[in-house]
Amino acid sequence: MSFRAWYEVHKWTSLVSTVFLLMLCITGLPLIFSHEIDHALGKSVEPPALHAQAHRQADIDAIVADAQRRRPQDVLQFLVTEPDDPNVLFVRMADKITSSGLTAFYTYDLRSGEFLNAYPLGEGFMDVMLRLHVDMYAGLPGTLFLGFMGLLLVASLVSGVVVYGPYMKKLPFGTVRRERVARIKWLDQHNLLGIVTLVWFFVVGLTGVINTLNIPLFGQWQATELADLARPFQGKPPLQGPVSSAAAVKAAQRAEPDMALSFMAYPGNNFSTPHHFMAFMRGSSPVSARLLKIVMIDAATSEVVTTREMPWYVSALMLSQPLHFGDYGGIGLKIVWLLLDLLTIIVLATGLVLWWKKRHVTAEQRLRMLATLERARRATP
Amino acid sequence: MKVWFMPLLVGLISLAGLLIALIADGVADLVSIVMLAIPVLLGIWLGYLKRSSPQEASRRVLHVADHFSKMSSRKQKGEGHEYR
Repeated sequence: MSFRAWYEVHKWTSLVSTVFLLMLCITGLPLIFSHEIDHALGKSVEPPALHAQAHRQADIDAIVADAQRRRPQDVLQFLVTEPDDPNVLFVRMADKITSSGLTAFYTYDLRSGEFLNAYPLGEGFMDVMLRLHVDMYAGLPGTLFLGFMGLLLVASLVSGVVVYGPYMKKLPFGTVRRERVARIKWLDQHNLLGIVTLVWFFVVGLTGVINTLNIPLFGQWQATELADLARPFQGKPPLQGPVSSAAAVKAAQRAEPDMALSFMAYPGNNFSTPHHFMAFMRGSSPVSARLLKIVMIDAATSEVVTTREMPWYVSALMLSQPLHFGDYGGIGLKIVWLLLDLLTIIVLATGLVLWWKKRHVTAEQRLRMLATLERARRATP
Repeated sequence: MKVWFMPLLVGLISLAGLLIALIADGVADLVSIVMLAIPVLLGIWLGYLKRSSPQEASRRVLHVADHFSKMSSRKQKGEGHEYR
């Protein structure tokens, strides 16, 4: 491909996607710190410091019963734990077991069993940021559209690298010609910031695209591997009587003693079968914490039926999450993430300004050319 | 080759920075932070903070004069832009 062709690819992929990428970069800024902001605003809470003697584990069934008492009309969907908060258990509830939305997200102290907090759902500044960033309030089509914008970003970055070469042929790395007209300075800054943030922007963009496939990827797993696990139990009578979440968690822990519970889906859920709990277990290293193993537990007897690995595409999705969020290296990494995000905003903005200026000039030229032609036409009899 | 040496170096450092904190904890987090700070510092330093060399600074005066004369001649000639 010629320089001109690559230049056109860079121009058009950028033009189509820049407005959305700017929105994503700007809404992404506060989202990097959503954990810290939620805690600062009191939307989430830290578990209180307890004495050493309080190292016992609370009865999970009592926690479940408490959650059920708070919302008798709703059902429990998931129990969730976070690697960074080992002393808390989250309980997710919904109006129906198969609902994709949720009605409550409770935090319990896993040592004392105490109710700590109910996360305020669907309100506030951070919720607006999250919705804009994830689907622009347009559901799955919105998410997939943003994923397509991410693909355009990838094409724009690749073509941007190709056109970087000829521009920089005669210039030392990092040249910014401040003494020239503003447009040359912006071009140099666009080239410099674009090339230094390239790998980060590429990785965050590509992992963002993978994250937009969250629902289709889990859907594929549900339609194939989960359906296969459920098939032998299809004819069985529906589950009756009380079930023990605590016994299910214990059984999962016995089956995978070196792993910890990441989340557990309740029977009848989209992530389980009508007769089984499905416990999703994670390892302890940053990478193995993302490669989930599932333990299938008979809800009536609390016996482990089988264990499985998640397929490669779910592992790819899980691994792409930290690389997109920047939440795997403490507050320092988040600050670097913020700075890189700010630099890419400058790359996007200068790119837009450069195109705008050039577009303006080209239009002028075209007008002059037309005027010249007109004059020439009049001059010839 | 000269054009691609620094971009390659910065790119490899960024990639290593992205991956190291992912495969290990503790001191690896710090290594990642330092490595990913390199493109940030390079961008801010070269793009915004670095003063022009004395050579460039002395040329600037000439350039400003040059710029104005070019602007007026450009207007007459109808050339709007210098891109490459």
